Amino acid sequence: MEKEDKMMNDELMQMKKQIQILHNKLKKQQIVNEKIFRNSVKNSMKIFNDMDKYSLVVAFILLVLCMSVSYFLFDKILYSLIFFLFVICMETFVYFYSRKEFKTNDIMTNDIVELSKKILHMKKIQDKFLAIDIFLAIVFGFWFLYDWVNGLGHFFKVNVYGGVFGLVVGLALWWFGYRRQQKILKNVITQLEQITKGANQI
Amino acid sequence: MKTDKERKFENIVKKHKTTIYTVCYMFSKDNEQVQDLFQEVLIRIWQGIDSFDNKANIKTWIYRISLNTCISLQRKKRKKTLPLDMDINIFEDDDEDSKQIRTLYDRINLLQPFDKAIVLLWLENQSYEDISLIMGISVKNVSVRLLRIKEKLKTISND
Repeated sequence: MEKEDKMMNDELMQMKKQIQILHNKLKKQQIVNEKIFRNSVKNSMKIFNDMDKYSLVVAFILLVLCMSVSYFLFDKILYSLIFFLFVICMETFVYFYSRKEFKTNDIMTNDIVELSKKILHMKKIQDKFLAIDIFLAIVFGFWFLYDWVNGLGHFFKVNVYGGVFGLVVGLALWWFGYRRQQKILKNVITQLEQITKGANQI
Repeated sequence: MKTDKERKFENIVKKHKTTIYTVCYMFSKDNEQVQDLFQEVLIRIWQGIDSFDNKANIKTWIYRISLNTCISLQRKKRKKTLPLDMDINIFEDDDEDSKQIRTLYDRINLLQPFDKAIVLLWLENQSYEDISLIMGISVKNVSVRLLRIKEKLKTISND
């Protein structure tokens, strides 16, 4: 019995040594945690697409509002329609482009360098749209005021204050959304750069 | 620029990768399955990192996640995952160390998953208290189970 116990203890000790051998081997192992980063990219792009979707809905609601207001103002705010139509077209383009180019499965399996290039391209498109947007928004701002002055007569003061307030809040929200999307894309690009450079080896 | 979460995650994985790998190896049939389990454990750590209480014992938390993942996923159908780069293959390498590890693996794998987890923690020099915390059973239950496991291992070696 004593001999058996000693044998058993020896065996357990041997198992402890074996697990130590495994540890020593594993310490040399490097891990490329690419999947984790790809998952993070996937989540970021999902937020990006969701924001785009909501912008599209808001722009559409504003367009409908503009059309109904223009009915009462005798088609005086035609420029607003053009502006919101442009915003809708832009958001639709970005939304569908993003959906087409950044499918979940592609993010998880596509070549990481190609993915980086696509996201960089997307960021550039957004920058170009921003430049056009700023120009249109400035012209729109002035035109908007002009239309309201002509269309509202003696209600001018109250409505202009409301209009300007709405415009400022709208632009602030739009700017916030744009900055947020750009930040997401920037983070994603940085992460992808780390993967391609092998900086995420642990 | 890495976020705080990424830095924290990286530090945890750097420090505890051997622990995670050891558990994954003992619950896998081949290198591919080790990779699957390892990735899954990393994802669960990433997901749980925000809710992890810094005052708690990190090693206990890592063991709990690793063992829970391995026990639950071992029964499920294997998912197709992206390959991770690995330098070693304990299941196929022919050196003396790999043979030793395979012997250990064969012995441990004769046990049920729960017992396998307990004996693995014991071999990793975890105290009975820590094993009871990780496995969610009482200290007394740990000692009784370990006694039975040792008996079982003894019977197996006698056979």
